[in-house]
Amino acid sequence: MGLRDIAEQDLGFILESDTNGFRWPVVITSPDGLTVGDDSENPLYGFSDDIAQIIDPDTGQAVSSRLISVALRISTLTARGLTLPVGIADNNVKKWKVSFDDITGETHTFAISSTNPDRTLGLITCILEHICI
Amino acid sequence: MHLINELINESDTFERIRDQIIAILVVERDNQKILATNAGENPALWDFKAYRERANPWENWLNDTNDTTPIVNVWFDSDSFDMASSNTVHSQTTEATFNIDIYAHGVTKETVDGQIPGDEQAAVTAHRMLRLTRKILMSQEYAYLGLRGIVERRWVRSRAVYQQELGGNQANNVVGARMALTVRFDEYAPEITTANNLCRLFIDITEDAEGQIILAQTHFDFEND
Repeated sequence: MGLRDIAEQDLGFILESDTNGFRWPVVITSPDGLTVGDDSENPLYGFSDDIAQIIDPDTGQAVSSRLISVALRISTLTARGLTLPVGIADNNVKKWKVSFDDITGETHTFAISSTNPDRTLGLITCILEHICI
Repeated sequence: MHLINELINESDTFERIRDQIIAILVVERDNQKILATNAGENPALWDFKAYRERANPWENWLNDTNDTTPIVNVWFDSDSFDMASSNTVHSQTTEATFNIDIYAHGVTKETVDGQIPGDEQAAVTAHRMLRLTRKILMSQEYAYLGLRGIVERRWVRSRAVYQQELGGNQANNVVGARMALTVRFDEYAPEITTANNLCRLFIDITEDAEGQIILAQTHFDFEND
């Protein structure tokens, strides 16, 4: 097994292990309605982030916003029947959706606005935006 | 030894015009919402939150992520005095720029068959607010911003819409826009307290607890009244 394979396996420890990292349960739904992670007996784990972010709208005055993202293992998504998530521009296609709890236990649902897939090591970072469902 | 014996506490003309611009926008906004309701339209499309001279970051959409009410912030940018049209004793003519800044928030909406994209909605909302504010301030009714004798001319010098920040990865779709309004008027020496027959001009601005402009009224006090 080469170093890259080992690195990809290490993702399993980093993103999904309950003893070695900061894994967090995530639910992801594809545009055609396939949902992964909503089964308590077979959850999906990854990293989630929801921190403050300043928007500069070029007027000289800032707007407070958030930087929200999840990081998931590509091989896990594939094994569970999902294609690689991607930002959807077409109006006649639903966006990928991601749900997870914040630290207080409140569940939030977001849409995937863009993605950063790393096919070298097998990690995908999904940048999220607010959605009204 | 001082030579000015009167307390200088009267607003300069640029301050009055700044307040008059926001007063006009608030009054007409409220009326537009009534007209929209009467016409069977959604009054929310004519609604905006009005502020003046704000500089702190807007946090309206930080937690209330479904709120798509745009923000309008009016502020005085700068002016330039025209020596050729002025005199050194009585009054000086100046041309000022007032910025009407617009902040529009779009939230992606999931539909039965797809989506209404939030980034597009933010831009469309910003354009709608540019349209609304321009049409209000450039209405024939406001040829002199309701201050004839004080305002010589008002003109929309430019409009600009700023693309969303590249690579910002922010969760909120926010588009900023600016309409620069140029106004030509006179500023007066402190000894001069009347302009034509107008003795005093009062512009009352009422803010709610959040600092949003909710009521604006203009009162004129003439010499012969």
